[in-house]
Amino acid sequence: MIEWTENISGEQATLSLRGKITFENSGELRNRVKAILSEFPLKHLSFDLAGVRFVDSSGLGLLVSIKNTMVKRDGSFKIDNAAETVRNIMNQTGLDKYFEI
Amino acid sequence: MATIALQLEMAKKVGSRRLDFIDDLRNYAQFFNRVVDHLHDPDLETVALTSTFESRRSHIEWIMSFSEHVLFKIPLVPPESLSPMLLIIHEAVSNAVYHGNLCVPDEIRASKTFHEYEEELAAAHPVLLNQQATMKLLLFRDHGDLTITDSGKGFNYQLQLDRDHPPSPESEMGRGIYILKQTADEIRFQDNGKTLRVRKNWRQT
Repeated sequence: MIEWTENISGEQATLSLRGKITFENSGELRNRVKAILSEFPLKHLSFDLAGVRFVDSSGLGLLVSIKNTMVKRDGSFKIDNAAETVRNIMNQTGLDKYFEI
Repeated sequence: MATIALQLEMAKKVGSRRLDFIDDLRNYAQFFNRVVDHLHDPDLETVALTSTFESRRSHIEWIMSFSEHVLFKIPLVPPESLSPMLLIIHEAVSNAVYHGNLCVPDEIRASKTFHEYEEELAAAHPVLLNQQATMKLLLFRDHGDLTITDSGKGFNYQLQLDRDHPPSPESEMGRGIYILKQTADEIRFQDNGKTLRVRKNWRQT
């Protein structure tokens, strides 16, 4: 189960997420990000993960795909407030440096 | 209505308790209420959770949620091992259902939600959603063992096991088995990859 709130202003957007990002729900989140990116001229997107206590390999794949998309449109993607469990899985997979957390 | 089977055995130094559930998900809450009080027993020595479920999102979410409840309530798993063991269960179940049973193509994973894909399968190939996986989770005072068997054709797991570095950071897939390897103490595939056995020792991290 994943829920989020959106704060979009000009070229910047922050999604504050709560729950788990897993295979079962990452598609819904990906679709929403796609819709936001097609609707707004965003350059900077950030995810506040303070409320996320678990991310699996599919969730990681989603975060990577969002970062790749933002890089392609000369923008940036940032992850804030990742919990220790999320940092651990990013360290394990070498993504801590990619996301600069 | 698709059914799900579950057996929970809890052994103490003296005596043991076994609770069974074979029903559809509408009656799950009653079963959970029957089980939950037993999970706090400080004298528990081992817990065995066995479940056979179908390749449906509702079943997968249910087994993940139930496993998490068991894991976090029983007095056997130290706090620092809870999230790693939960991660192992998630990755193993995902691997069995999405890769083993459903063979979800990469392009589908990148373009559709699981709900949309499940609806397509229900219309075109409903038999695929009936394919079962069986999970056995054994929790002891010093370690946990997970065995999961899917109904698929198997796969060339050796390539995945031999990988000693993670996929490139830009890669959007392919981290599941690498994460299992990094998180577990032992990982073994059998029967052409249809059965996965994983062991996790509890220790300070």
